[in-house]
Amino acid sequence: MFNQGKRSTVRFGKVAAPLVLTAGIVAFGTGAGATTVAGHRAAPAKAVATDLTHPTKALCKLKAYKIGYDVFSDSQPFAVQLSNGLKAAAKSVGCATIVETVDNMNGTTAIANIHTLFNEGINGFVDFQVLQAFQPAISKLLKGQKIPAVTVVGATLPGFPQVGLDPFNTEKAGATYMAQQEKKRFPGQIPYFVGGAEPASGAAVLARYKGAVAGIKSVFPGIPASHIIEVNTNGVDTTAYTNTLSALSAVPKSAVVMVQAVNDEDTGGMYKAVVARGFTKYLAEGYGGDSYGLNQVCLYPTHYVGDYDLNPAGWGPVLLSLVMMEMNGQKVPAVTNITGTEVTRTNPIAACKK
Amino acid sequence: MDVAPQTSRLEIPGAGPAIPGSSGAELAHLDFEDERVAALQEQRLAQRRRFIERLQGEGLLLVFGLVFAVMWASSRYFLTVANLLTAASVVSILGIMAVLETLIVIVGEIDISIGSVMAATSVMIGLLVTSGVDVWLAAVIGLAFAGAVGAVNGIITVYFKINSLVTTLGTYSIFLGIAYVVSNTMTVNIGGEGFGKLGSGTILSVPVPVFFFVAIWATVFFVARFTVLGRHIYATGDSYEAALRAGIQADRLRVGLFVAIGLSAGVAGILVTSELGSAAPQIGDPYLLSVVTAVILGGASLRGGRGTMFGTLVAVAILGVLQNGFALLQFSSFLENTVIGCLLIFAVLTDRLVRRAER
Repeated sequence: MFNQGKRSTVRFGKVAAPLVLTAGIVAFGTGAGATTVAGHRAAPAKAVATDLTHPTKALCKLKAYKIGYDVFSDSQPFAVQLSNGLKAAAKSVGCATIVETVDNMNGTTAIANIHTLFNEGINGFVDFQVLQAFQPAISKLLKGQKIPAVTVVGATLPGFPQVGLDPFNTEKAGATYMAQQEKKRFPGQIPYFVGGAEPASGAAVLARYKGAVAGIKSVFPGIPASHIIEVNTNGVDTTAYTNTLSALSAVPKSAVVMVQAVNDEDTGGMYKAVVARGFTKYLAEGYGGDSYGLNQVCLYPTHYVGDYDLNPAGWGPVLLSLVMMEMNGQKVPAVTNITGTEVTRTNPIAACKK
Repeated sequence: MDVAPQTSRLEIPGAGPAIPGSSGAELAHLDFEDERVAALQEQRLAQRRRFIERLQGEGLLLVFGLVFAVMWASSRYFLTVANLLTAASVVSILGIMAVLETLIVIVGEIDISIGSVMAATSVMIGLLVTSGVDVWLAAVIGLAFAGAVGAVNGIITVYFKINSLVTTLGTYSIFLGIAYVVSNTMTVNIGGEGFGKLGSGTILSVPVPVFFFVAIWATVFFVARFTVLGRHIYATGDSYEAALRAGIQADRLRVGLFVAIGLSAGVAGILVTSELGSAAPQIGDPYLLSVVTAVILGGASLRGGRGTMFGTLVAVAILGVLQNGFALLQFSSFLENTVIGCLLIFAVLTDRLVRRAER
């Protein structure tokens, strides 16, 4: 129904972006292969019309682009930053309007929102609904109305292109970096890894935790099972703090402790718990790249080795580019993977004051 | 509060037999039999009520002992001074609010807005600090704000006669919404070494939040148990109309308690902001239901008039041991929820049995 290539990947990051983007552009042209995209922190590539991260007026082939956008939350930080990025991109393009609805992680509400958006006369749709069970119904509705759409995964939307990250490998990359730092700073010491997980949040988030463990094991292949401690954070820094505080009772005071969670706020809570328990050798690695996480890297330079930056605000322009291209009848990749960047305190993205 | 069932009969001196055709001696004998049966029945009911109350009180201690023993047997790290102090520190925030929530429930009301008041207090501190206000002054302003929210809850509930569940559900949504909007959902760092000690510092190896909890618990325990104010709280919760007739300023009392619980949520918000070193609108989420859970588990009745500080203390301890043990053993949080749910049903059922025994 919609013109789709196979797979593309988009990388966020200052240095790598233009090169990888070029690969992405080639992928569109041939309708095959993989694309990696970098977000708004990257410099615009030369081939502006096909630079997913910087949509321009060149995409405005139709008279108007009224794009519906259903999002699972208007308070969860990642969703908020992504939404802001999408709206800012639409404003900069000039011909696109975003009509936003919020479903508050209620599938029935999400479906009702789609009907409302149809009534408002949308001709394109961006889906950021996270409950997989309701996606087939949403897909059917969109296909029935012949509305081009793109989805942010989380949850896939059958028959439509998707934009997402590779949760396992992105978190693995961050954890691997932290483990390597541990090896440099505390040679010969096998650390304890305390990983924040959110079992209630489903497979994609669980994959992040598993990725973190895999990253640690890739550097310390023989690490004992008792040195890997899973803490449930429920996605709240308060719970991350209290549960880590308790879990650390199983860790000797002289040990090296490493903490990483599936988002920046949880990692921050866990980090504070390690400090409160009086450990002297500890490292932390954030995951997400929101302002709080990046700030932690600057505030605690000796212990916060970095923050794996997913730059959620940069996802919006990619989504807008894709949906507008679909609406123009252009071919788009079926999967656009976004990868992140390890931001240390020397990286300009962290913007640490000297 | 224990209130004896009202079973005395109204007797009018000099009045004749109530049943026509029966002699005075026969009727006197029947009256005596009736009274004897009634007395026996009342005695049986009282025994049953005491048994259920013991089940409720001692059962709670038994549950605590059981949970404690299971955790002790399951993890060699559990029964260490450092770990138990950690567990105490973790539940202190919950305990501070649970103590005041117990009073609110005893007086026949409920406040479910505390999580959002915590969050709003934290966000307010964050905003003030980032705009250059001293962190301690920001904390005091945040505390005053929390007290004001409590006053709003109290005034709407008491003087506009709105059910407190509805009132505080409304203010919960309002202030949580404001916290998210004002903070733009962002978490901000709060500096200040001294302020950080408030939530995560120790005095003689004991975490500072534990001192806050113990001080507040002891004060409220004393007030509830040994003062006129405490008796008025129980009396108002037992029967609002009777309390008014007895000259108790029940309305002012209830508004005052709402202010007190607002302040307790403010203190909790300050402590959490301090221990995390950051302000965020999400910080109240884990406390939305756990505070009410602790109060009901502790034996306070949602119908008012019944509840003890000791019960709440044991309930808070149970929740603390469960949280600590599950984190230590890396058990599923879903299982923890299941266990807490079972305990809650046990608590509500025993309260129902006590009520039935009183009738």
